[in-house]
Amino acid sequence: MPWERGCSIRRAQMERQLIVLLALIFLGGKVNAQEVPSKVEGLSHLVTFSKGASGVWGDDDHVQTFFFLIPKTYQKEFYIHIYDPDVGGAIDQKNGSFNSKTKFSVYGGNGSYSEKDARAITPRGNYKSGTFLRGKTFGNDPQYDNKWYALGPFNPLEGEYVEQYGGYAFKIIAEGLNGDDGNLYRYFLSKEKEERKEIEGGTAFTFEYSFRLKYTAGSVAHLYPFIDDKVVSLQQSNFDFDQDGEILVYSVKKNGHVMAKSKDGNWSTGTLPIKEEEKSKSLDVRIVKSSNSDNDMVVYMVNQYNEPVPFFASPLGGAVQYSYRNKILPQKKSGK
Amino acid sequence: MTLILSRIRLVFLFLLASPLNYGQTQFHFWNYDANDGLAQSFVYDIEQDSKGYLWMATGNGLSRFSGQEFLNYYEGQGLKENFCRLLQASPNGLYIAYYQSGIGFLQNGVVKNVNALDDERVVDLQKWKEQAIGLTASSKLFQLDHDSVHFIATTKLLGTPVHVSTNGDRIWIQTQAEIYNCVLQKDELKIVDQTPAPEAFSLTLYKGTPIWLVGNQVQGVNSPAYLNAINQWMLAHQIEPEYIEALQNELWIAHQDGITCYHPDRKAFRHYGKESGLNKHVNCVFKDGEKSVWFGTSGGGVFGLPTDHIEQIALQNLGEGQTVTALLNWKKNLWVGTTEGLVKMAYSDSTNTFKETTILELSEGINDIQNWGNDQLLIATNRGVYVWNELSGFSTIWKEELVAYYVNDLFIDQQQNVWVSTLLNGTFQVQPNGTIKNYTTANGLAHNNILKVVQGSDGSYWFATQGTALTQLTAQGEFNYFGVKDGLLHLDFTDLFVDETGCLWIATRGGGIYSYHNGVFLHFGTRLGLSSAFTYSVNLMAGRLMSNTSTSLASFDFTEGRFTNFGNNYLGVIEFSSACTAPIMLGNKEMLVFGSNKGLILLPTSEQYEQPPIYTSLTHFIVSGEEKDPVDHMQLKYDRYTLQFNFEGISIKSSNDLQFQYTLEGYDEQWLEPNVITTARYSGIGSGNYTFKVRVKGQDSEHTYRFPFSIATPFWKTSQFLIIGSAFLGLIVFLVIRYRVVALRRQKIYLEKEVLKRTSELRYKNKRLRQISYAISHDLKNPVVNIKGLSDMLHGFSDKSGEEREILNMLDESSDQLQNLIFQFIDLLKIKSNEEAIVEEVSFEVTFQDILKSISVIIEENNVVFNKLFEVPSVRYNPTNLRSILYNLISNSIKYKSPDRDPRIEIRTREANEQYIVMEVQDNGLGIDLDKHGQEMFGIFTRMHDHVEGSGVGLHMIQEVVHMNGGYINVDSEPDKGSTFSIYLKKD
Repeated sequence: MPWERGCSIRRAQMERQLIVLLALIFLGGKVNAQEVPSKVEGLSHLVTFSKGASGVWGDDDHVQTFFFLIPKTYQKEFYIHIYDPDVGGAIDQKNGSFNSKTKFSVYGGNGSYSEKDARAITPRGNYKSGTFLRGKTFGNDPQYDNKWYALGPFNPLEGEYVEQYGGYAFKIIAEGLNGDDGNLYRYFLSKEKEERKEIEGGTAFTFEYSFRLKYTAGSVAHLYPFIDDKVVSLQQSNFDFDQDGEILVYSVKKNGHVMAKSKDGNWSTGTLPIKEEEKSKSLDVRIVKSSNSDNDMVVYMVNQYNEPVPFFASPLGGAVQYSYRNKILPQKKSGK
Repeated sequence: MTLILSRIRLVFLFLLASPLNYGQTQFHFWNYDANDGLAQSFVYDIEQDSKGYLWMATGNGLSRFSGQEFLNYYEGQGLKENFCRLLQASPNGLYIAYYQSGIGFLQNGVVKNVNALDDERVVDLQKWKEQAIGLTASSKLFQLDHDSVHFIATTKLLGTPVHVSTNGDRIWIQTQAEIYNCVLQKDELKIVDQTPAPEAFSLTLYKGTPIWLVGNQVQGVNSPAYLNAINQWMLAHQIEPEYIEALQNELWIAHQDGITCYHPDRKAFRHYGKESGLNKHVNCVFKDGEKSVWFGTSGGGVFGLPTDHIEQIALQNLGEGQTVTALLNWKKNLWVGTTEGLVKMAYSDSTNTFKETTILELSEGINDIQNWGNDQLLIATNRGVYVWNELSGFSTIWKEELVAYYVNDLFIDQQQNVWVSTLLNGTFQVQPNGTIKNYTTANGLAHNNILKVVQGSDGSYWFATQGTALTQLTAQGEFNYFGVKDGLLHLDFTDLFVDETGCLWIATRGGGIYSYHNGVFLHFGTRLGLSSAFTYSVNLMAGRLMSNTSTSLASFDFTEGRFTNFGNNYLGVIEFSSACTAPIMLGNKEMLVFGSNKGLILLPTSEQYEQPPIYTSLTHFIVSGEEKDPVDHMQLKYDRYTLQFNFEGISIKSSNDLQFQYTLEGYDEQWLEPNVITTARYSGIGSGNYTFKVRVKGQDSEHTYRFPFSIATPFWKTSQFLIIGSAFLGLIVFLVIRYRVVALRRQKIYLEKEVLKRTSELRYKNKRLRQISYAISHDLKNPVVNIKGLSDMLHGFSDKSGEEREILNMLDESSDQLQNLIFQFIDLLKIKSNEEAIVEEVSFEVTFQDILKSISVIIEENNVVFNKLFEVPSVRYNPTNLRSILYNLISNSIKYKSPDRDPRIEIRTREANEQYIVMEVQDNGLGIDLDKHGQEMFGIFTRMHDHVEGSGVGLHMIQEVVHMNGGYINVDSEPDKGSTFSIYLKKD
């Protein structure tokens, strides 16, 4: 029957896509996907400012949500480490005197990922969906300064199983509470409490990325939005870039596509068409900095349905490379 | 077998640890994880059911632990989901809270899920009236009864619910914002008070009071002092607490470095961390019936801890299928009677094992063993009594007369009589001279099945019989029977024991244990924690009351007033059978030895029992003549009762010098003085919460028994009634006040209308009166003027005599006076009718000059000198009125001038204050005797000098005008020196 045949074709396609996606995740996971920001992203820190801080500091909503994905084959306890979780000391952004608090909360169970609000680009509605598992609030606490703090342990089964990714998702929300300072921190998904040991196949992603760029002029940050097969076009938005350089997009079909760049405390938006060859792959959004400065900014992307697109800590499917039409690769500089 | 051997090793390792060491100690745990059969190595909750099985909630199934193996339940066995988060045992099953989807109830291996909670996430589950109470993430509080659920109406709670805890009548709910203290009233949760606790997590009840964690601190209602010690300790060790649980008198705090136990009464900490093998995060703590503590961990499975004050059991197998039926400790040998025969086990004081085991050739079931003489044993069997001669090593039948009797028990009394108790034929007394006397129902026994005979301190004999009565044979040969009427409620006796003080201890099948002393029975049953009412032995060994029950080896702690039950089923199904009559030293450790279907149970004694145990308890609780079972926290219906408490005490050392004191908390203000009275009576006890406390004091120890109960509050004293009554009373008062207010308003409106009406009438009458007065005055004016004119004409005729002329002058003068009077009267009427006259800015100077012009002739005739100073040049006033005031004052000053001097008049104006301008008219005339005329000088027609003409209207008119315009007048005058009139003119 044609209808049945159509169904089986669609099912086969879906299965193929799932296999590809899982393969991408697990392959990608080996590229140090446990640390956020990852080494390949080249970012300084994640950043969340407290509620009293103006948007000109570089955080539009004072909340950052990340998802950690544990492959279903992993059955032991794990921890989410937070580097420099307090708001104080040399790393964090002081606004006057340090008077801020940041709350880190981990959620699992039904709805923690699948709830639409959880994946929204702004903290709205039921974005704290799921079951609250653990959390801790940090202020200006020197004992946590410049150190790793482990939240956990977590049972992988406490997460929400996500069929699409073949693993259990855990959501961590960093929420800037009272005060006006900026908390700069990093995450690490670890199988150990005292040390940071990666979980094979584990990864992390977000739908709105708030981060600090590296200080030096000429530094290049990489963001890796994953383009699934239903994306036709993307709308990229960035906030408070201060027009401090260029934002360029690379993929198999884009070789430095220039994106709109925002001014101080403002949003800037641009559209990016997606070609068939770019689907089921990651883009490489490169942010090239032009001055020596501390620059905090926010980036998100939505597809043509206004659905947020995930940024993975490492590019799914490995490094993104432009495919030259004539197959001539750029010449490597010789050491001579 | 491996497990058993490992247990034995663990026990002896444990014994090496100091029992009172509460510091860092090397401990060794039992540890079971997924590799041992546990459903998953993440354990979130642990419970123990009535059969002794341990149940463990894991992230991937529910595990039952028997002590040797795990039996797991999954979705395939009826669980709604594999992830089990919370457990709560009830007498008839086990409640399971799933991670995401409600509750299941496991009973007899079958899981029934509670459909009404399918879509709810249960955040906490606690024991509640033998069943369970729970709380959902959506703030629904519910009670469970098997697989049915009953929701409790709850007001909106602030913040997401996290925990619920109960201690009978109080319910504490912790949310992410508040901690609520609630009571349940008719299926509705009432919040009594609430404590803000944002950031708080983990809640437990310690001795009925809630404590919780906030940040790195423990907090509690009223901040009890012991929390300071914990917080200081955590601060010093940089502890970050993650979970707190109260287990009886201990607080367990899980943290980043393991778990720490704090005993507030001992003020001591004990830490269990990596160094003791517990290297995983602790999710839950549970203390089982043997007081072993179990920890559920994340990733490490479950850890079991034999705590320092908990004695452990070791097993020594005697061989397959053998049950130990009798034990005797004699000559450094343990003589063991089994269902198969007699075993002699030699032991050493210096090693921890029996060094030699000899199977003796007696090959039939043994029921009892007793030492008889220096070298012989008497052995009771199902075929009579054997005598075992240690020297010859052979056994022979003893007393042919007793052959073929099923012998239950042997007892050798102080007179060396041997009492042989049988299953069917009563008891045989074998006297030292060989005479045998048989006691049966025919000559006084209550039953022919005698399980035990003992001799009391008074020489009498006690017989444990089956199902009739406890029988006493006195030294005088009389039989006494004890039963229900004496307070002995269970009559199937299994064992008897007489302690040093002469107290008789009685084990029953179905009723637990009784003591009998000084004519009073005390009951030690399941209410005090005895695992089963079926007891098969009773003994006082090493200072403790021990009993074999159908499910455990029970040890009664006289200090806590509770039983500890050893050997519950999860340690391997053990049926206890016999107890050794004396401790043995094994491995330099004093042990008690018990028989079981698995062999021997070795129980180390403990130092804590060295104090003489003493105990007191209620024997009767009589409520207005009706005996009640004193169940803790029982509630009596509202009434005024006469309460009688009978109590008794026991001391192992001596029960004769015990003294009691008692108090009824909630009624008495203090304890009564100690005495030997064992009855307390109270009458007229009404509603309230009470605790009857009785304290027994011995030579060097004491024990307090507590019995909390309550008498219900009558409905008219309930808070609801008071609220509704107050509201009703308030409504009545409100309605009365409202009625009065409405009535007064109506009356006010009526009166206002009446006043308006009367005022209107008065105004009308006044107006009419004025009109009439004016008309009269006006009508009089013309005739007077005519008279004056005619008088003037008469003056024109020259033919008048002197007398006529004089008369004519008098007529002229009178007509002048009359005319003057009428004019002034008309002026007064004009002023009075001019109350609402126009007010405008009036110049004093202009007014003054106008007056001077009008009376210039008079001024000239009288040589009047004026001085004037108008500091205030003008005033907003009616011009006519101002002129009238000033005119009258000036004309009066001239009129009443001194005959001795020319008149001198000074006129001044100045600011008096913010409200008034004062106009002063001062003269040097005759002055006024104010003492004489001060009161009436402003009255109409009042005259103070008669030598000049005047009408007596002027001053009155001035006063009327001034008052009418809101002012007042001051007069300063001295006869023959002059007067000063100060007119205070109200500023507009």
